Amino acid sequence: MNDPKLCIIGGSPRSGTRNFADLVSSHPDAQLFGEVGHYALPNVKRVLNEMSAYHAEEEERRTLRGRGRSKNFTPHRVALTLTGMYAKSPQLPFNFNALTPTQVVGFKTPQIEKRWRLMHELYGGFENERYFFFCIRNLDQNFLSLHSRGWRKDVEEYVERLLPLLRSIVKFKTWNDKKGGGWHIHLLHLNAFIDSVSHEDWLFDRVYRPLFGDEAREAAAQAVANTGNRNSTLNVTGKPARAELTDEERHFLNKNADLRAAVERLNAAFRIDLPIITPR
Amino acid sequence: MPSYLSQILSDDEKFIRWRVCWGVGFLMITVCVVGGYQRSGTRQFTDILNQHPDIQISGEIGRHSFVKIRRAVKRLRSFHAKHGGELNARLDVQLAVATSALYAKYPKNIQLKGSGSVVGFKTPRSEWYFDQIADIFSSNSTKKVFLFCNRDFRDVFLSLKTLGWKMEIESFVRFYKRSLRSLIEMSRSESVIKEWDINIVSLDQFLSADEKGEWIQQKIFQPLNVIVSARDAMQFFQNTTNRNSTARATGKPREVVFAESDWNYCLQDAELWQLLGKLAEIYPGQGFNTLEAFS
Repeated sequence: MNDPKLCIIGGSPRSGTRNFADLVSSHPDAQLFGEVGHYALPNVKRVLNEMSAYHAEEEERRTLRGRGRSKNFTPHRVALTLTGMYAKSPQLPFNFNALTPTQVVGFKTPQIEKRWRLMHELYGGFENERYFFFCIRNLDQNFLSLHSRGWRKDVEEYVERLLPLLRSIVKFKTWNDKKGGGWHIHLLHLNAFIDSVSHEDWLFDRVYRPLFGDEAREAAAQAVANTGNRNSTLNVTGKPARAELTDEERHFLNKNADLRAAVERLNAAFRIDLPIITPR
Repeated sequence: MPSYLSQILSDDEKFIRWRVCWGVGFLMITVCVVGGYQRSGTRQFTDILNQHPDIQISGEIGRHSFVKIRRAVKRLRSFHAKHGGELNARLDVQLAVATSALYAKYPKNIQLKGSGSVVGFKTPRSEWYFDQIADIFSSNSTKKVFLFCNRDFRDVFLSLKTLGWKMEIESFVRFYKRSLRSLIEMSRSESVIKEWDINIVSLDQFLSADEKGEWIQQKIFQPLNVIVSARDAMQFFQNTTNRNSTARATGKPREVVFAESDWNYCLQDAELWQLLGKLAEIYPGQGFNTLEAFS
């Protein structure tokens, strides 16, 4: 089976998932759709299970009859097709027959790492490289961006929602490393991208080379040149994100032991230095 | 719009073209379901339709999967309604067809062809479960066409027999009557005919037509509001092979002699003739007059 490569972009909302998805999509060999709500995955699984059971029964009948061609039901491809149908802007199926193993298909779903086991169950059958990109940014900025975007929750609730993401991605990576899950898991730190001397070098090293190979440097440069950050707070709300935390918010983020522990584990697992509060 | 086009286009087609010309809204989509008893040309007529660059009829979809397709489509609609997804009439139909194609005997990730203005599937005996099909394509803003493939039932029986169908005439007549009954129910249901155009496509008439191109143009493409010339229609036919013919499927020609005992059995089945009579009334000259033709 000539499966294309699979690319799923997850991570915390307002951490560059849209921007990185657009950067990947701008490559001519990539077809990414999205956004898909992570809550759609159980629906995809339910429909897929019903389809698989139906085709298994039919196949059994065919075998008993002793005639007819064997079915070609490939659950991982059907799972991707169904995922597209459940996207916020629903998509029709990829033409898998026209795709080659060097091409990349996938989607972006913030917070999907919370459901990494289900994600593996649905898409783990791709017989080609499978990439998962976890997008994150400095946590104070992540909170401020969410808040400016209209998410009217306080910092306590932000941490409560963030912790499962940080813990899940570490668990996913640990499981993948130990059990040979077959996923290439990368962390994309938005601040590192923004602050990088050369955006195209950064994008090439961390995204384009793994997905598209050593020849993709020029394509990475073009992607950076042609892709705007259409989901930036300024573009979406018409005003820049709130720039400063209140003292209470800063204090809470700094002193939360659970958050600190989760960030330390994340930093250790991915060998990065994600700060909770952006250094001045 | 050029005057010659105004003369040949139907009102619906004019309206569609007007919308497209002026960029108003979206291109209207037509749903086409090909049904009728098996061995009545469902595959051949579907193949001819699929020759058109804007028509995508997938299949064959097993009729037992309709209940599952309906459930899957219903869930998809509820999901998008709950989460505010953008599901216009066109997309609704396309997703229903894409879901159906995943339930096909040989599942497919379907690709839309051309403008994607006509989509659907073919399922012999789909009329048995028409209520389920109606739910699968419940969107009001679409044109819906059901093509019922019809053939002299004696030929259907002989074709099935040659193909290895081991049942006796009694079983065949029972199943065949169910198809006829379903078609009558559909044709008499106000809610169905309000939304669906039911068209009979007679294989016998097609085979005996002198001008096959014209016949195809009028009987298959016209009901779908698809404009093709008789010449193009003929070309579509010539591009297809009757890949499901008895000779191709079995390697031997179809039996041609309907046994006298089988015919006697049919003659004494009053309900069969009653059903055929009713259909001959509803669809005069569409091949439901077997007894008359025999006489």
